[in-house]
Amino acid sequence: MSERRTRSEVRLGAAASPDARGRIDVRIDGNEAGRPIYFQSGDVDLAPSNEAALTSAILPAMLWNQNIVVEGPASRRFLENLDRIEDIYHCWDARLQKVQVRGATPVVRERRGERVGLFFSGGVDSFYSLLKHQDEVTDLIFIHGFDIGVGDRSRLQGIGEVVRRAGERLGKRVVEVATDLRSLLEGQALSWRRLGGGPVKAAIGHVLGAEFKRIYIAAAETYAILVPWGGHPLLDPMWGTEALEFRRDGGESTRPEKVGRLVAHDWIVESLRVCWRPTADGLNCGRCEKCMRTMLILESFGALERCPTFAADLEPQRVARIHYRGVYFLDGAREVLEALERSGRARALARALRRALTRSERSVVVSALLETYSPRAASSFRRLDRQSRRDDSLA
Amino acid sequence: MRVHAPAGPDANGRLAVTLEEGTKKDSFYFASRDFNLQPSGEALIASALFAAMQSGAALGLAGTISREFYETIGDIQDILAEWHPQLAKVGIEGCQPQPCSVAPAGRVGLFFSAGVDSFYSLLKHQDEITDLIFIRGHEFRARENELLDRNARIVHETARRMGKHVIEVETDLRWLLASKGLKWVKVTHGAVMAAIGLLLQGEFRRIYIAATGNYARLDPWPSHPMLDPMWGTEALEFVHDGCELNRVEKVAVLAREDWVLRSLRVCGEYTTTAPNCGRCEKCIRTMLNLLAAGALERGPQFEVGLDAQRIRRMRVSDFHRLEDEKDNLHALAQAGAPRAIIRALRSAIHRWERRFLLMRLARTLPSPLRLLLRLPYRLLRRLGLIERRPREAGEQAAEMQGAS
Repeated sequence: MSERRTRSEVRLGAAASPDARGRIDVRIDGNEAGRPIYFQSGDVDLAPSNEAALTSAILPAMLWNQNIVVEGPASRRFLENLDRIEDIYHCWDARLQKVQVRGATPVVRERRGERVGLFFSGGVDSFYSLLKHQDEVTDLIFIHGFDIGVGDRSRLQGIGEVVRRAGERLGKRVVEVATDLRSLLEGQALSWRRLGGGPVKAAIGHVLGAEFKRIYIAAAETYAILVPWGGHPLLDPMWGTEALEFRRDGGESTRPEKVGRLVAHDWIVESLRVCWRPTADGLNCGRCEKCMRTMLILESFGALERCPTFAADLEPQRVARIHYRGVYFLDGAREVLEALERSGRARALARALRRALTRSERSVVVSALLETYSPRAASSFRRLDRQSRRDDSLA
Repeated sequence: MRVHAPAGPDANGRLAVTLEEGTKKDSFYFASRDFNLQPSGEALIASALFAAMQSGAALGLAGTISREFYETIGDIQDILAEWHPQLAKVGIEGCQPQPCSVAPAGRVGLFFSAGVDSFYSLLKHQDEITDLIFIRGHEFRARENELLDRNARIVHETARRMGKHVIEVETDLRWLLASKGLKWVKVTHGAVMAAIGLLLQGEFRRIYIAATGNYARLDPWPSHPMLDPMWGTEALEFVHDGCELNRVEKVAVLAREDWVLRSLRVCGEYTTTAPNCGRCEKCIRTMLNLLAAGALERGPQFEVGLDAQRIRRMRVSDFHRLEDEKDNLHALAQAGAPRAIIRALRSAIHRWERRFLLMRLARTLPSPLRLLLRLPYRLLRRLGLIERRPREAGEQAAEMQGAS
């Protein structure tokens, strides 16, 4: 349920230019939960725009079911696309209601630069897109406050070094931008993984100003798995204007196919950063599902030993205990298993992964089957299943 | 593989297209008495792409093609190859990409079958749409004239009522592709529509393709909001329309117009006494949509009425349809529909959901055990005590017909 509304509309406003620290604040006034958010960069002059403010505010406004009022110019194409963007979000989450945007003056935005950006975190997807478009990409954009919080300086420092090394190696500029938009969205119980990632990247693209003509967003999913996942190949381009294009990239390749392309470059394998919960110095934990998925793929190419960025070794017992939920993770695990079995390497790991996959699939199906008989029985099953996995990991 | 066609249709409006690979030759046709079909390079590529991708051979054709189309065809293939493992990305050779020479024209079309989705898009864009495009040979074989004429009459009556032109286009492309194992429902129908749209591009600037699903269901489907616009050129835009609503909500919109409800034609079965059989899952689903909208009595003709027993026994082909039925269940409960109907629908949903889940569970079993479990099912089927699943049976029949 949406929160109790105290006003009938959301008003947006932003300073005309960044302050001395390179920071711009965007006011989102419309609800007791509304508050200013900021974007900050020491690498470029950020340009406040109504597109950035609207992109930041659209999900909260839809959740509060309040129209948005904004003054000044905004891209005509962007304003026209907002209706469809709202349709998509409403279908993805029924709590999000369609709202109107009032007060903006539609204009045709003119491009002033030729820079091409890529959101870059040093992971498999963004390295793949960097190699694919290395002749075209001029800037690597690293976000503080995306998967690592803005206050987590040591981790950001560690990952920032990976990004800067990649930039130096390929002769690309690095643009670091910090924002607290994620905390606003999460504060409204909007799923970060499913819904929130796309608008944050789009808002940052807009505050980077008219110097950029195109920004690539590396896709984690393939075209075969078209679930909302921090963005979507259908949705991402809709955030664009006449002057700035967003492209979701890499949906044609599975994660093993992407890693297959990366392992030809030692310097990439030596710096891969994939973990959502990295160690204090920014290394991959080596224990989470994503780390183990990537390590298994690297192992299938015989490249794991060349990768020093994982803080733990890959052990079959730990692999066998992974629990996959949802189509995205199950399909991802199947791809990894195929890659491992095709390679003929690491048979014990392949067996462990098959065990984990089978167990996860059965658990998901049995839970869904029980749901058709009795939701209470399904809930009890899930509780017992969780408990048994916990016991396994302690054993 | 080469694709070629004469410079224009013959005196009967028929355009024969030939596909050649080595010594092997296939041919198919498009025909229209209402429009002078233009065999543009883009239309030929759209119609031949699946055959080329399946054989893995580069597709060659002479002449020029739109630069925009040429730049996007690689992305289209990336998507198709990811969706269908039997398809591989191929090169496009022999043609010259250049900005489209056809000047943008003024007509706006809609592929129209008189079903829920196309009627919804027609009402939504009625001020803009100038032409309804009706395909013969898309759902039924072109030679099934009686059925097609009946459906065409509904399309013409709708167009007359709303002051629109009708363009009928006949093709056998579906059946050629089906004979190669490329299923129309799950693989090719989007490209067939794109090919037909591209044959019309001389006079059309936009063509709407009515969506089947909404944005919550973006799984691979041949006509898809991501894919359809990619078939466009500098002169012609394809718009995948109507994803903002599910089928229950669309029928509620249609229920505002009695004549629309009466004209609905949703059934893909062979019927004789009414346009809709009332027995297939799609008919039952639509009747439930109408019941939820309080418009069943005002709805179209069905050969048989809505009946709890029939709902309980209905066959659901896949998870997508199951989700549609769940939408129905939710809407019917909210609308206060008769309990017997709700109970019957819930029972059907649970039965099919359990069946799909058990099939999924069976796939996790070791192969010998899976084979053992299949034996009784095969035996019962051989004895004629159970039938195949309807979609599977329908697709196989279509392919056999196409091959013959």
